[in-house]
Amino acid sequence: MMLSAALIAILVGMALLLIRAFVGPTIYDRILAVNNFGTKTVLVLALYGFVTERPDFLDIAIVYALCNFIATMAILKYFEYGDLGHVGKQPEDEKL
Amino acid sequence: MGFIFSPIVFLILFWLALSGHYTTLLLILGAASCFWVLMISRRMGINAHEGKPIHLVSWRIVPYWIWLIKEILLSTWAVSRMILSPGSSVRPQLAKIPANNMSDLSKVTYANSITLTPGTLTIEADGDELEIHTLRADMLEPLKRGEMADRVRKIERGHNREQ
Amino acid sequence: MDGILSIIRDLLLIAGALAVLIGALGVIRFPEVFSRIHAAGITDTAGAGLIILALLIESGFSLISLKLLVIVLFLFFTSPTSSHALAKAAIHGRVLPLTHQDKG
Repeated sequence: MMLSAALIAILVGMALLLIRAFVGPTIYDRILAVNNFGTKTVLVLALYGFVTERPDFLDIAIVYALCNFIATMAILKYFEYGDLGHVGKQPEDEKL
Repeated sequence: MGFIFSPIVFLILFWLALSGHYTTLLLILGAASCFWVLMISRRMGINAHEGKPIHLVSWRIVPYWIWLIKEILLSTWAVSRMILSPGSSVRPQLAKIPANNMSDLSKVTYANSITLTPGTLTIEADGDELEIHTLRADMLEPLKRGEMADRVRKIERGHNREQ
Repeated sequence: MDGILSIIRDLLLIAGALAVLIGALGVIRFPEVFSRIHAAGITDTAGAGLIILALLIESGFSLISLKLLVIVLFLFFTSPTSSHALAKAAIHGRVLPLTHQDKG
């Protein structure tokens, strides 16, 4: 019972975050909102697994957490360097 | 004892823990994927010393984590009150705090702990100083007193003594 | 399940759900990116931590609780990293933090 209530509360929080993702104003606000949306999705997946008594959802939650982190880093890298293949500055580069 | 924390053992244990199905075919597939991940990370040039987080192995991390969780809950309470209070009570500030006498690993632990506690955020970690963004001036006070830095240093000193 | 344990679980769930809601509200209410990162941090740390702790009580001791621990550890390790990356990228993109240096 309380599990479902928490689930609904998180869904309301996700709806609030969507507002921020749409309003912006900067691209970083949107990335922040989407990243946080992903964290909440992980929680929703975990809670949903317990509500329906199918703990397999936890595996999906783990994978979602991984994807969310990597996606956020990839988007940030893209906006910082304009290129996903950018390797940053490494000491070896200067020798070549 | 150290070999337990080597990447391949960790990967295999992690796979076994997540799988929960132990038939021959799945075990072979699991071993293959562990090996594959190891090959990829070797190819990416991930250093061996980064793969062994000495910090996390030391048991002294446990009291630190308990203290950190207490701090997180306290500052969550403070920030929640700021969010719920009417009108804007946000007075953000930038400040530099020292992070001297620390190894890189300790610095990362310190900077991440600062970011984990709501109300303080590490913007730049450069040399022996961390640039901190705070929501309100008084949230910086505990950091300026340096209690967290002392606790982070204590984890590492404890580890060095054990060796 | 024991009566006391289920009460503790419910309290943790309520606290966690409130933390998640307050965090989302903060992301809406705070004035600029850097302040909003603080509000988002509440969801990542207190919200996730409390809810997963409640689920740990619910699940008892099994492979499921191990997976829950993996989730919460992963969130605790990655959330500061992405916050820091976001703040750095924002500064790099010339979004400067608004500051009030008047009080010292």
